[in-house]
Amino acid sequence: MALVEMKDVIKRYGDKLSVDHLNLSIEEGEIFGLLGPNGAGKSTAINMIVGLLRMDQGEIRVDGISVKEQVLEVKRRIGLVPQDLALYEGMPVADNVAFFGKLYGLRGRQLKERVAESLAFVGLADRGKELPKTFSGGMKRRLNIACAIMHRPKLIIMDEPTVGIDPQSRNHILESVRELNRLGSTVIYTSHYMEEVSAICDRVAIVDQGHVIACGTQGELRERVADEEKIKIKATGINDQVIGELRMHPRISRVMQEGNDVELYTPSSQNDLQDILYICAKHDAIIHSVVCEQPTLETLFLNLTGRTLRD
Amino acid sequence: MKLWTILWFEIRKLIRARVVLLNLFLLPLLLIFILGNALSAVFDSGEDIKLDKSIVTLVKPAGEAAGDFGLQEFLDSPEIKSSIEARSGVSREQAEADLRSGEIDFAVVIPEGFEANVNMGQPAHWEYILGKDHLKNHVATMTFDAYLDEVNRIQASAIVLGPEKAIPAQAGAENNAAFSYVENASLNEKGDSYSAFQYYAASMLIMFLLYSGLMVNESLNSEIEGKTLYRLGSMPISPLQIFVGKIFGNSIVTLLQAAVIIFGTSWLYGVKWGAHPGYLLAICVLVVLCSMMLAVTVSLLSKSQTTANAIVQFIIILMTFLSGGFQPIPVDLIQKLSEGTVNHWALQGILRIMLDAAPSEILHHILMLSIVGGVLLLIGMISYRKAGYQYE
Repeated sequence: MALVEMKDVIKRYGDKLSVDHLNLSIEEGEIFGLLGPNGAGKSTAINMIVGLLRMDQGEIRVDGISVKEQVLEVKRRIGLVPQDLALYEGMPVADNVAFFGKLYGLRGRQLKERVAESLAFVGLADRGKELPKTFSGGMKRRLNIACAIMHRPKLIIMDEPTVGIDPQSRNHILESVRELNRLGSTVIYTSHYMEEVSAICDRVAIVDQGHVIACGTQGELRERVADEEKIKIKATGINDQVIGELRMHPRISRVMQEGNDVELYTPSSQNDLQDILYICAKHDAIIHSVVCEQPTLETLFLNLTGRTLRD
Repeated sequence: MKLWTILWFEIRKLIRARVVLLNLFLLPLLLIFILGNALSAVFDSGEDIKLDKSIVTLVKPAGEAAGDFGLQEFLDSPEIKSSIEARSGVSREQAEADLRSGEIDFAVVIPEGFEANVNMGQPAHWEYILGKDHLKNHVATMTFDAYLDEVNRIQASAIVLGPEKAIPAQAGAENNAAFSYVENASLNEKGDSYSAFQYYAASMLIMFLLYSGLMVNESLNSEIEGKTLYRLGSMPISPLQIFVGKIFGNSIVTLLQAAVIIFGTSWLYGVKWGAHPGYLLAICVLVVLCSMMLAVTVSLLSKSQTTANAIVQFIIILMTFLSGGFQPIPVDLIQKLSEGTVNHWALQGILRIMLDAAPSEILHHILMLSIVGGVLLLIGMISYRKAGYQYE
């Protein structure tokens, strides 16, 4: 059963179409990744799901409830982890979580328990009396999550929750996402870090210029670029003749050079690597390293748009 | 319920900040102390003033027993005698010369035909020649004006009611020693004036209440800048509830501030706030309403928070200045302009409460303040409908 349904959703800012006929169906219990470069429309789509923005056209339903008609009911079911830290830095950690909990209707003993539970979940159980302004970026990010989960929402939306933090905190957050999902929450996870989405998401929608350009499980998406293995060569003496000859090779689809680094795309690195190395050696190029990569979501995005995710 | 959550959170947030506490509760008391002491000379009613006797020459027209409408009894009454020493003058010129030399302080020239004029029912006028001392001139002018008013009143009674009924009235006038031309009263208790401390306590109270609008602006804006409004927007609470909760929270803290100013100045500086706490509370609530609405309207319609704060601060300072909040300004134009300010109606209302004026007089000021508050509330509501309170 779909927990979130977006049908033909359009959102304009003036003349600019930010979300263009967006269609999405997110199943209950999955971790759904929204992948796309900055400005692709991911945050706008999320803001419309949580009722922060009005759509110009289309329909969004969360747990079968129309966002247009019963926005407060929809909001009760969602926990939003915003991209920017949304905390009261001068109020103690536990007070921050409790305040947001009260707005979800939690009171008394239940509120106390949930605050303790949420802080324990993000590893801040013994820091409740401290002020967030004394915390590191990673700890603040974790508190940002605690504030969104204390009411045990059916749907947790995480909008780029790992921006600007250390690897240890990032791992903690990614593990938290998996754990929340195991506990029964459906998670929408947006990022422009392909590695994060690959690591935790069951299904992924790749968004560009306001609409979904590809959607499916990671396997399904990789299938679409199965014949796009990447070979990265670091070599000196690569000249125009070498690049020209590589481009003439019948099975090499693309060749990109930047100084001593060359990237080539081929259906099978195993079959073509020998040819590639031969061409380089023929023109006296000295090879320092060769790396063969299986196709990734990044490759798919590049294939579909001609741009990288970080462009 | 959610509105209460926002309201209490707002109060807790304000009370937790030490700088805010100092600004809210200590600064007003300090400012009132400084202004009350430094500018007490502006107010001549801070303490009782001992009046020196004025020496007055009365120049009567030759051959007329002018002024014999109980004038001598009036001048001989103890209250008048304590402030005026009357002497008979020979001529106007002599009186002028005596005034120049400083021998006398004031001169009254009774015109020829005065008695006949009075008997015919014509208004009675005397000529006053002022001396060098403004205060003595003032005392003498008031004293003789009071006498002439009484003479005119008796004559008017005689013409309207007939001489037989006017006689008792005249007799009354002649016994004016018992008539209360001068009433002794203690200042600040049923008096008709107030001390510098009272004045500045009232004006600073109003100014600080007006600044509460800036506090709510700051709070509303901090939610936007701190991105917490974005999170709140994703929760089951409407932006209007957040907006109203914040206004109420700040209003409660501001009224607490008002209570600290009132009780603090009463206890520390002995300021008398009158015997109408209900009216005082009504004025405080109305000023807070005006302040909140003024600030949020400017904020909702301004492009940046810095601009909004600058505009609101300018308006508060201007209104405080026009209404004489820093120092009373006896200029007609400014006094007329001040009638368009919140401060004027609030300050005059509070001063009347301090002086225990008639309730109708106080209520008039409260009514005017309510009208200003109502208009600002309407403008605030329209502005909210137009601009809303959004995270970006």
